[in-house]
Amino acid sequence: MISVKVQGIDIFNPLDGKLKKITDSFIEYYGEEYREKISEKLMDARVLFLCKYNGEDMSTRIENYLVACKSKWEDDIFGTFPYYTDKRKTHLTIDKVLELNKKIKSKKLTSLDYYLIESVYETLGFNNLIKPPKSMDEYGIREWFKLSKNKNVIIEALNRIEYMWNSGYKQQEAELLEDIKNIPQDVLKIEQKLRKIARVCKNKQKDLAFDHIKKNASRKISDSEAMVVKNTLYSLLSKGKEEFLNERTISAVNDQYITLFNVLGYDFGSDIKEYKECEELLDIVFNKDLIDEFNKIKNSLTKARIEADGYYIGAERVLDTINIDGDTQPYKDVLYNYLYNSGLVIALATDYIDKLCYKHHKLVFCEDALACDDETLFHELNHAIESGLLSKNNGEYYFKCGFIKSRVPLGNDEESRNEILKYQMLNEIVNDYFSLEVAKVARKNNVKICLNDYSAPSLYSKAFPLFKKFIENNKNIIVNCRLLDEPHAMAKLMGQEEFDKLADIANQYLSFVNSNILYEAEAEIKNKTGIKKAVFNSYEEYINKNIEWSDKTKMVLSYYKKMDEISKNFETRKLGIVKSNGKYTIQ
Amino acid sequence: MKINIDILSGRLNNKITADTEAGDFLINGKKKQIDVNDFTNRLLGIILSWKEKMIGPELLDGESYCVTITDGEETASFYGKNSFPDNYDEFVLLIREVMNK
Ligand SMILES: [Zn+2]
Repeated sequence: MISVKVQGIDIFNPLDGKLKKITDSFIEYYGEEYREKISEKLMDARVLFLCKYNGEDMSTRIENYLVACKSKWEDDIFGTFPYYTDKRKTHLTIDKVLELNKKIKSKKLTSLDYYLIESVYETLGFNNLIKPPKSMDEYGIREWFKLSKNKNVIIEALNRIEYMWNSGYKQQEAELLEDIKNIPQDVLKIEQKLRKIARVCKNKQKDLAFDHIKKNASRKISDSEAMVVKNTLYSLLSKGKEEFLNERTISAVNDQYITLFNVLGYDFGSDIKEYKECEELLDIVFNKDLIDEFNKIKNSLTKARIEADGYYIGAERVLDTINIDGDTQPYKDVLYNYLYNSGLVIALATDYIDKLCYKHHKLVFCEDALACDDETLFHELNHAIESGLLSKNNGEYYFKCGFIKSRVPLGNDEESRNEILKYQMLNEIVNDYFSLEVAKVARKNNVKICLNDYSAPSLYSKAFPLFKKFIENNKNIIVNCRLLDEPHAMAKLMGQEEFDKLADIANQYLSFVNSNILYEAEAEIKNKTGIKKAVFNSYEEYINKNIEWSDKTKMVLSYYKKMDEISKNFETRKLGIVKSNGKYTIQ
Repeated sequence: MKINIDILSGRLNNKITADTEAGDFLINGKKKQIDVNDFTNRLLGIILSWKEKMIGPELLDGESYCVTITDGEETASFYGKNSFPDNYDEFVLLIREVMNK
């Protein structure tokens, strides 16, 4: 397997040597009683860290990481000065300050340094000193500095900064620069090949389309038309004849088709229906030989990528050796789509059964440690902990993940899809809530796995203010239900109807994000209360405020009342719930 | 023309709305200075090859997208879950570009 070290961490194997500490963090949050379960599930999980090559080379990625690190280090260093703020941060970099100090020491200040001295002066907050006068020339700046009683204070500050930099950060910077030099040749070769392949194939397909147009055109194609018709035939060939004939679309799209059809010598005006009924035209556009050649190029791209991509090859080898019961090709397809299509996904998970021991494993595809963040990784690991094999019926496996029961592999049957559709959002909200809590425990324990420190707020976290009280009040029961191999345990304890209501609330509330309603409600609350931050942490308190809310905001706020009702009903039912043999049951 | 883009990528959700007449462009509820017409033209060039619905396997934290374009009475909409058009990379590039602006 390919190995790239950044700050001593192999970005393709960042879990190495850390599994015990991670396991301990999960146990610390969930409780000792789940030690065995958690340890086993994490040990069995297969997490493949991969690089999705999108044109950005490894060296650039590490350089960008260094830039991000430096920004943090600057905060650490400059933050020790009382007047350092985010706004002032933009004027000052560690490199500039070190350079200035060097110049002062060697007495080589120039007029250009005026602005730097000014930003040091302002950023580091020497407000009690005499500000350097505006627009000094080279002589002036040297004289001001020489004569000024500020000199010693500034020199002392600059020396302090240099000392802090030298005592730790300088070494880290040097190590990262060394990491860039040490990127293995394998990686550079992969990058070189993939860069070439993607460009060549797309052009080939479009050139093929354009050649076909030129061959069948009834007139000369202008330069401005060329780009449109080339892309239009490429699009029609990708889409396919059936889709084209049945699609519902807008005039702007139809106009592009019509431009192509006109070039091909068919002009029936602006009604797309006429064109769709012309078999002769359709035969030219969807020419069989053309389609065969078009698909051949597409398949050759897939093949070329697979052969050139060492990350894919490494992961494919793992898939071939982990004894997946059943066909491994669907997993390879997921892998390919993960690497080349699902552009913004950091990590995703699925399941497989080991055919030698019939054991369930979670399979996670995850971006390497430069791109992945611990919160995302813990989210996937938490899915692993909450998953398991339920049964094998007529050669088919059934497995669970949290509150959901579905079929392995990859839940493609209607029954699984319906269950997922109904409970997925609730399942994800609870999973994300717990995994972020575990990530906090890990951070407290100095367990750090990935290098990317920034975790964007998840969609699910938008529902935390609504669900937090319910989850916290019933944490023990929810954890027990999710970790035991009974996906519908929580529904049984709450009553199916109440549980479904909870799932509906999750679906509807998160749909407010999709329809912008949640953002609009947030803006209204900010406007009418004057509160700028943390709106979503204190939504509840706005319900009873004597403020006239818009209907949309009222609707968002009404969900807090619905959650209250569900919570109250469950409190009553809880009176009949007992725990025996490590499991909650209703009497 | 009104455009609605909703992408759920793993745990992360990105919502883009654009209105060519008003010149408005919002990413996750926040206004952005984007050339709406240029964005729309590029998007139309990309979705031209898309099928209305593409469904792949059920995965935990996979990617789904929903793009709706409304022009007066007309609508074109595209939805996909863990299955992608051939030029989806161009779409991702466009989205990344406007998000990073
Ligand atoms: Zn998830």
